[in-house]
Amino acid sequence: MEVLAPTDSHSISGSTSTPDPTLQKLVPCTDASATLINSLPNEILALIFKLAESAPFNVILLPSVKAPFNLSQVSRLWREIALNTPNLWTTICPTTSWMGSTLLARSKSCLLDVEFLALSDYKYTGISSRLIDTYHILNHSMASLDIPSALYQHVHRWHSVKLNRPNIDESTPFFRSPAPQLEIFHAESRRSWDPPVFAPNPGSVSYFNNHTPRLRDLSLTRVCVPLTSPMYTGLQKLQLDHIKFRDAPVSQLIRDLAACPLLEVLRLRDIYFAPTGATPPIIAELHRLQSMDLALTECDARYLLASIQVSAELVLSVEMECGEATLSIPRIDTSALKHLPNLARIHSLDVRYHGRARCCAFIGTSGPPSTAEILKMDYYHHPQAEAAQISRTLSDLGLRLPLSSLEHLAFSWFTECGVDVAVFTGILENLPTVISLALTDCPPSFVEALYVGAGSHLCPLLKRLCLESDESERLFEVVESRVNAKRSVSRDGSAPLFQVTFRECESVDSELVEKLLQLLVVVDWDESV
Amino acid sequence: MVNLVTSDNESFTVEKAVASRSVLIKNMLEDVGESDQPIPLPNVTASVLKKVLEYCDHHKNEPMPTSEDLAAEDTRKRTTDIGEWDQKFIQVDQEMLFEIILAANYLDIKPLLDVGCKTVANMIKGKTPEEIRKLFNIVNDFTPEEEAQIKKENEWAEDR
Repeated sequence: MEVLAPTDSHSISGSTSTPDPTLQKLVPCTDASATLINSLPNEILALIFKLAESAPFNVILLPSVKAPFNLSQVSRLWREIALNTPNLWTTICPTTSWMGSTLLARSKSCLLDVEFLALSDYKYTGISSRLIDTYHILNHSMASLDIPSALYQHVHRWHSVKLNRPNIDESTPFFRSPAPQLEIFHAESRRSWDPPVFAPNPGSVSYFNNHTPRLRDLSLTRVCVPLTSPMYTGLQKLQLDHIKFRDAPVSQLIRDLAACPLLEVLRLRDIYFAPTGATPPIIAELHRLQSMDLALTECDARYLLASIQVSAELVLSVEMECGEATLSIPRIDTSALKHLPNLARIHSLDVRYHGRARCCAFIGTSGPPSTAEILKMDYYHHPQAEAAQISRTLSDLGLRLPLSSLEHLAFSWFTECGVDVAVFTGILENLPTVISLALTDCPPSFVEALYVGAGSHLCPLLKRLCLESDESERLFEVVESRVNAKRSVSRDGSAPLFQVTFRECESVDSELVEKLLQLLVVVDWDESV
Repeated sequence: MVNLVTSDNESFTVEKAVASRSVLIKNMLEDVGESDQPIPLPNVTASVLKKVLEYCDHHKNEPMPTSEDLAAEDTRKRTTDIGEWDQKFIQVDQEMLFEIILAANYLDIKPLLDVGCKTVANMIKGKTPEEIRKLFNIVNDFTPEEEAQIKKENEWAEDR
């Protein structure tokens, strides 16, 4: 641990010019140093002080209760340790010139974590309402004070910057020096933005003269840095939120992603791009990507999914805003399994239609022993073209999103949405590995499509069927056909050939159940429900 | 098995995997090779070693922190989150807490040192200097002049 000499002008013991590792000798041996905690070596106390610095999220602790300020006021020993540990003073949230200059001096040559925060969003501890007012005044006039200018002279020491300001553009002149050590840059503008109505472009800005060679974590909200900026190179974490790239198509983002082979987290929400061609120019290989969270237009989301190669470990969450035009939408087709190998880990898939939200959702989870969510896709449809969009959405399953290990499939609430049974049978034709199917509140035609007849044998491995709030007059025929199909290939005459579960199905009665039992079908039915 | 002898002359026989959570003991074992010789721990008492070994036994199957892990900790902001088992383990009086920290430091058991330091850090967080003094029985040894100087430094943040 770095322990430097007490050269700070605020040192009680006065200034010395040479390092003295035995700081305890600087203070007289009093009762204070005889306390239990002071039996710890100075470097351990310094480590504790550093750990005490972190505050709960969204809470600003004022100096009376914030480490290291409070620690430096406890005793002479603690003060000397605090003042001689520069890395305790590296988090700089400049609110007054005293605070800014003190932290800059005490941090010596250590890298700095700088936060320009809009204090109005934060809670306060250890502060009166009157002081809160003072803080607000100081904060709002910060750009005109001389604290930032002192801080900007130390841009070469900036390790991270969190910029949360009502208007980012006012600050940009201060961010034009290269930041060679910067690893984390989070910027959020408070401009109003109300999608899907496009607000005026916040304007393209250039931070740090585009020189951030160590940048690994970039998060921009309502701040538009052109996609041609070298800031998008070599990232491990990229989060963009509420940005309209007027001049750049999504293909430019793909090029940026290709320059981030170590990317682990990608989050793009409410991002709009210029129109692009149908064919992705390159495939961005993102083998380290662990999490991808997209909320984009259908065209851009599909384009992106068709343009990346990821690992099997990826957790994918996509919200698509479905558009009417489909011609330019790139297909996520037979090559998808190669590009998105995480799909092959999906063991169970839950497909739901939420009528009020006009949203079709796919939730894919891995198999036992862990059942982690691997895929979540929400397709939002327009009322004018809803049925056609739902059909296109559902046809992704199996065809465009190959699910080679899928065993359990569930469909819920499709009765009212008008989807043709041909769409349903098309899905099942592409998912031949399904052994368990659950239908909840689906049209009778869905159940009847499972009938095994000449030239029709959907889900040949199906062993279990669960029906909830589903009705069909052909239920017995469907089950009988499947049992007969199984019987023709089964060599074990004692094993049950099929399992059926009924919940809240009015067309099911004791007579039907008795007939099914005679077919050696295991029936789970509670008459009282 | 490894035989450890404390400063108050008590012997503890433990599995090598447990004792080797201490980098100090691990290095000693590597230096002396296969030997039945007891390892003296002159800076650790029996009551403290018992607690330390309880920790080592619970974590014996976990990977040891690498030099890369330790280097990464120096450059990033660290949280003071503590695992559930560790939280219960470290619920001891202040004297034992500081003894465990000292022992972890001496025996070079970085994860245990972390748990101890985070526990103390969590006790300090959000407290005024006076509250910290009370908590740890620390005497305010600033002279009146020094106090005045510190007060002046922080005047801007004081409630008037």
